Amino acid sequence: MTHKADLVCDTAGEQMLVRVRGEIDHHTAADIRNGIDGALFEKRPRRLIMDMSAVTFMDSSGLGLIMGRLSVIRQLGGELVVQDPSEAISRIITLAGMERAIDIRYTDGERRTQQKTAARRRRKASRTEGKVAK
Amino acid sequence: MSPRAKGIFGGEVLNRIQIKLPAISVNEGMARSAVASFVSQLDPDVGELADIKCAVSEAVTNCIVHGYRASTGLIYITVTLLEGRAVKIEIRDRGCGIPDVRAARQPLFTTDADGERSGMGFTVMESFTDGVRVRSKVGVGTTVVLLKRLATRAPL
Ligand SMILES: Nc1ncnc2c1ncn2[C@@H]1O[C@H](COP(=O)(O)OP(=O)(O)O)[C@@H](O)[C@H]1O
Ligand SMILES: [Mg+2]
Repeated sequence: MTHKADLVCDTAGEQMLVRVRGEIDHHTAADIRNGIDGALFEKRPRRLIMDMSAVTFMDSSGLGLIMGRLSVIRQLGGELVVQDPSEAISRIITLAGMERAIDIRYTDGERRTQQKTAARRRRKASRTEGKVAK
Repeated sequence: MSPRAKGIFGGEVLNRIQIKLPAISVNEGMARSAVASFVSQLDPDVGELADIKCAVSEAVTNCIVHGYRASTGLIYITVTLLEGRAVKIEIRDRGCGIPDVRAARQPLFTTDADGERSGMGFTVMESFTDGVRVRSKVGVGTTVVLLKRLATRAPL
């Protein structure tokens, strides 16, 4: 089994879109960081968008990766947007209170509400399950 | 942890696995998948498995990044499945140890800010499990014990 992450950088005008895919941990974060920073220093965009919709796993190394990119893009006078974080990583993002420090956006306005409803439904289901079991 | 939870983690052992692997970063992924695949025999739900993977990843990464910061060595993992759907995961290194465990467990505390660490590892372990115990001695090593109680699933 391999645990991989990769990224696709796409720069259009002042904006760089980086799509991160796969598992983000301390091991894979090194390549992701080098890939993003290399592209940032070369293209110097005004805005870095990290699309994290295809991230399947992330531990606190991913929080470090995001905060690190925020500090690099700020040094370059730009801003960071984290786009469409997957359900797999939204819990750790919330836990870290990252919504307060980072601009998190959803491209599909519907999606966020859908995710919330789904989470609520699951919580309710597990509560009911617990009752049945007792 | 509640006395009830303590009782459950002292229950009868159903199964156990021990894994010993070198403290190299490629093993972070290996370790969490191995643990997850062993725990799968209790048929946890996806959320529970994701929590366990994340907590294990934190503890194993700490052995590599901090424990063996200035050395190399092995990481010892023992996963025990107990009666009552309780899972106990012990992760141990023979690294440098932690001088002040209480301080280390605080959110945002890190001794490695240059390495883009977030200082959130222990907080993640605590939030994603039902109990975290840390034993550490400078110059000897660190043991982290993660306790997780799986929900009872309704029979089909
Ligand atoms: N296995 C270990 N061996 C030595 N020191 C450790 C170990 N685990 C954690 N630490 C110490 O505890 C601190 C906090 O750990 P953690 O919450 O995971 O944050 P981070 O890994 O981002 O620094 C680390 O910075 C380190 O000083
Ligand atoms: Mg850590």
